[in-house]
Parts: sequence; C-alpha cells; structure tokens
Amino acid sequence: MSVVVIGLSIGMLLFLLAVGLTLIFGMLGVINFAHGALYMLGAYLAYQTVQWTGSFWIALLAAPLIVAILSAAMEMVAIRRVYMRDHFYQVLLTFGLILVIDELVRSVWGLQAKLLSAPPGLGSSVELFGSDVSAYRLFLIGFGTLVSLVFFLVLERSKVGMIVRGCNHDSEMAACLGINVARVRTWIFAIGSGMAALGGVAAGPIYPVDTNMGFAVIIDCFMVVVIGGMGNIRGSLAGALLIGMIRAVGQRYVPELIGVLTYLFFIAVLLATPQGLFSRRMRQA
Amino acid sequence: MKTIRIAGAAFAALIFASPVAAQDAYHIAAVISLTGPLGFSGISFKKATDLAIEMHNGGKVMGKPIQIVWEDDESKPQVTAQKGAKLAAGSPDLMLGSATTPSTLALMKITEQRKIPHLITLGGGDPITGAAKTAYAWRTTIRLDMENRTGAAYVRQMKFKKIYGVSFDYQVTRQRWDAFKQLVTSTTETKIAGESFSPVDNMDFSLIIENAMRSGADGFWIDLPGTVGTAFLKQAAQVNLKGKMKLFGPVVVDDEAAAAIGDGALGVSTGTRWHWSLDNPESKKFVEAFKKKYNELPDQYAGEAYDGMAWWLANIEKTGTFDKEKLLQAFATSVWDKSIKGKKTMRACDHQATQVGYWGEIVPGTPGGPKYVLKITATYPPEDIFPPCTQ
Repeated sequence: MSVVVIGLSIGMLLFLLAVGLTLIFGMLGVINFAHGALYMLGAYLAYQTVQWTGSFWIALLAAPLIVAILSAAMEMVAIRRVYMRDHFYQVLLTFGLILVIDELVRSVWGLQAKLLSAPPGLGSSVELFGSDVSAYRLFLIGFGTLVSLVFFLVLERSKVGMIVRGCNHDSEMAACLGINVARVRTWIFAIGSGMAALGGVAAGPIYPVDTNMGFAVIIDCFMVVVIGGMGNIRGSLAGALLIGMIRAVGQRYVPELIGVLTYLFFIAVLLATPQGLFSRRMRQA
Repeated sequence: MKTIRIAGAAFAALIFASPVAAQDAYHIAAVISLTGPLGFSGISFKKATDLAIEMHNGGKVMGKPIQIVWEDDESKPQVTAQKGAKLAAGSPDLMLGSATTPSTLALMKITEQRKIPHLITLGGGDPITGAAKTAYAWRTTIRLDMENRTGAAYVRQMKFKKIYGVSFDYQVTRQRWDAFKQLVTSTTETKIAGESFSPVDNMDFSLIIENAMRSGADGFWIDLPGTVGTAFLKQAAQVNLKGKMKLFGPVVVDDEAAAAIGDGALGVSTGTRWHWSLDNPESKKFVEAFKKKYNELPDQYAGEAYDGMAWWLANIEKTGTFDKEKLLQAFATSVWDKSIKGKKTMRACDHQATQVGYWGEIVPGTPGGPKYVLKITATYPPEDIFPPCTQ
C-alpha cells in the first residue's frame, strides 16, 4: 500500500509542475524550456520568504505570485514576439531565459543548497497500512488533487475557461468578439509559470533546493506533457500519476531500473498513441 | 584615422606580448567541474588552488610567475576529454583535474600521451592509482578504498548486527559497495541485511528507506554523495529513520549539506577528507587565509586542492628544476610534512599519497559559527587504511 501512497505523492508533485508547462504549450503553443528554471526560482523565493517570515504557508502563496508577476513581464517583453514564429525561436528564447534565471539565482543565493523544511505538523510520519509514511507526502496528494480540481473546473466549466479556450482555438474570432487576446495570453503565461514556482515550493521539503533542481525535473515534465497529450490538463494528471506509480514500483522492487522503466513506458505510449493518451481528436469540417 | 592606428597598434601589442610574457611563466592547465552537479566541489577547488599559488612566494615558483588556465568540464567526462586535449596542446608544465573518476581517467590518457605531469587533488576512484595508473598522474588526495576502511572501522566500533546499503547504480560506487561488504563481513560479525542501487538522477528514496526499515538493519551505509545524499537525508528525516538505525556513509554529509538538511543531519556519521576545525598549524594557516580572501570557511575539497598544489610547488623549489621528468622522479619519494592533514607520503609504487583518514559526526554548531558542524570523532593512521601496494 505504501507503494501506492508514494507513487501518488511523486505523481502529484510532477503534476503540479507539469500542469503549467502543458497549459502554456496547449493554450499558447510555446515550448517553455525555462519552466524548470522557474520551478527552481520558486523554490529559492520560498526559501527566502521562510527566512523572512518563518512561514511555509506564506511562501506557498508568495513565491508563485512573485514568479507569476515576473513571468507576466517576461511575456510582454519577450515571449509574445515569438508566438507566430517557428518553435526553434521559442526554444532559443526560453533557453536564454534559463541562463538569465540561473545566473540571477547564483548571484543572489550562491551555489550551496538551501534548507526548506516541511511546515510544522507535516515534518513527521504517520503509520498507514503498517508503513511509516511522511505526513508531508500525504499533504502533497491532497494539495495536488485540490489544484487539479480547480484547474478542471476553471478551464472546463467556467466562462474564464471558455474565453481561454476560445483564444486558443481561434484568436482572431475571439478578438472580434471583444476579447483582449494579448491580455489573456499574458495571464496564461503568468499562471503557467506561477504553477512551476508552486511545484518548486511544494518540492522544497523533499528535494534539495539547489541550482540544478530545474534540470533534474524538466525531462520528467516533458514526458508527462507528451504522455498526457499536448495541452491536455486531464492527460497531464493521468501522465503524472502513471509516471509516479512506475517510479514507486520501480523503487520498491528494482531501483536500478527506475529510469529504464519510465522511458520504456514513454516509448510505448509514443508508439501506440503518438498524440498522447488523452489527445483530443479534431473534428474535420 | 590616427586613433584607429593607435588602437590597432595597442591590440597587436597585446596579442604578441602575451606569448612572450607567457614563455617566462610556469604554466598550469586545470580542467574541473565549475558548473553542473559537481560545480560546488569545482568552485572550492579553484578558490583553494588559486590561494595556494598566491601563498607560494606571492604567485612565483623559483622566480617564475605561475600562470593558470581554467576550463569547466560541466561535470561531464566527454567535455573533460575535449577541454583537456585543447589545454594539453599548449604543452603546460602541469595539468590539474578533474572531479569524478571517469573525468580524471579521461584526462590521464591525455596527459600520458603528451607526457605532462598530472596532479590529482580531487578524483578519488581506486583505478586512478590502481589498474589505470599512468607514469604521469599522481594523486595527493584520498582513494575510495581508504574511505571504505574508515567506514569498516566505524562498523567494528559500533558493533552493528546488520547493515543495509544504498549507493548509486554506477560502476565506481557499486564496486565500492562490493568492496565494503567484503571488508565488513570478513573483519566483523556484522551481516548484510540488504542493498539498493539508485540511478544517479533519482531523487526519491521513500521506498528504498522503507525497504531498509523492514530489513531489520541497525545501521544504514549511504553512499550517495552531493545533493542526492542531501535529498536522501531530508526524506529519511521525515520518517525518523535515524531513530530506527544509525545512518553513516563514506561522504554522505558535510557542513554545507547539513545546513540544507536541517536537524535531520544531526547524528549522521560520515568520513571526510579534511575539516576546517582540525587543530594543526598548517591547517589553521590555510583556514585563516581562505576566510580572509573569500569570507567563508573552506570545505574538504578546498582543503585537498590547496594541499596538493602547495605540495607540488614545494617539490619544484626543493628539486630546483622545471624539468618535468626530474620533478616526477622527485615527487615519487616526496614526503609532505607541511600538509594540512599533518603528513602525506607519496608512494612510488602506485602514485598514491598515504595519509590519515578522518571520521566524524554532525553536531549542533556554536553561536557565531555554522548551525551544524562536522565534529571529527576518529582519526585513523595511514598504516590502518592503506594496504601495501601489492594488494
């Protein structure tokens, strides 16, 4: 049973991180290579917030908000110039942003890893089905579920979601209907990046907060996005949970093959359904 | 037009003046990881090496200024090979580097081909001064086998009933675990309760930790250096693993890592190459100079880099020549009695410096200093941790 709990916690953490990437790609068509760097920046900002306020919960709100504001500025200054260009330009631009963010973090916080602890009450373990499970991992499962529900309701069941989907589907028509498409895109990029930072804060009590943390997760994130179907939030959730479970089962029985199992699953999905497990079929007129 | 001519002349003077000046210098080329996962050790290495040069007659050896060129191998062996070959083409007087065993072995092939003295002050893999040793590479820092022996001495002292082991799924660390198991089971009553090998990019250890808890072990050997070890200990703290078994390892934690782990690091035992708290005049001199120059305490990698560089420069002064072959011949039987670890003795048989081994435990720091500090709890003499060359 502990395998399921750990698998869910790994999956939910991956989902928190990948949902922003899939949102940005699905709605804006931008491959944001800087997503991992924004995740790292979120973790460092959380560390700094905890140093100043002593509260993990304030950090959980403040770090994503700061990253979202910075990302909105980034979108207005740079990202929006490459929407209509080839993906190659997007990759170049976002790769450049990685270098800028990395250097910024190194200059401000140095190279040594930083301490971000679980909040009081979540730093210990609880006995579940005969196993000691970290209380923070259980929190991650609940928090990830809540975030996925909010995303689903907003994007699929609200007027805001309808506007976002409208801008994505036919931006010219949306503009004709009086929607400020540029502003919607800025919001989407800011929220997607803020989610990366939220993932960074959530990961901080489990993984080291250091300058390499963004590189370590970005490949897993892209796998989640591809497995789930580019731009599909529900697909991202399913992809993240599947990868989380594979990693947990691998860790229990064959830890040395965790990577092999994950990549085999990824390749199998690509071969069976190249558009991802949850890709939407486009209706042809 | 006149301004352009003057600028052109100045540029030409710069271009052509450099090689002339360079001919009168002692050239050192260094390939080390300044970025990537091992960047933390490479930065320390660079700072300490620069300091050792500065502290040696104000940056001169036998009257010649010392010039050092740095290249970053990005923690990748293939980059070490590329950049090492580029630097070797300039025929430096000495090569330094690199951080990991594969990177160091790649560099050793180049220095052997180009007949360049190669000083290894960071890479610890056994093949470097074992099966893969070359005539030009000499190691002043520890070898991994030595860390196994200090770890085995700790197992004897603690009288563990059973130990569990985790290490990277990586040739060098797997070999180290196999050697450690053999050493422990042949010299103590301790049994092996189980083992796990984790891919180098894996950062989640919850179920490996649970496997260890179910194994009935009372000791857990953790061979996960760097940030991976930090991730392991953070996750171990969340299920109070150290309340159930003693956590220890060859290089599992130091002061900096403990600061990123928090209270979960307290009580964790580890081997260390050197520590700034050592009470000997040479160590204190280095620590003071490092603090003065960089406003921080040096780590174990800085200590080893400084010690090796200072030893080599002293070897040049003592030998009185820049002839590479003669310098290597002299270094083969050199004794470094100004080491920050007390004394190091070079062995001609395997090109490995014998030295003391340290073992310590993370304890709370004192006011005004780091919050968590590695306290040296045992020092092992070279004869206890270095088998004769024939073994």
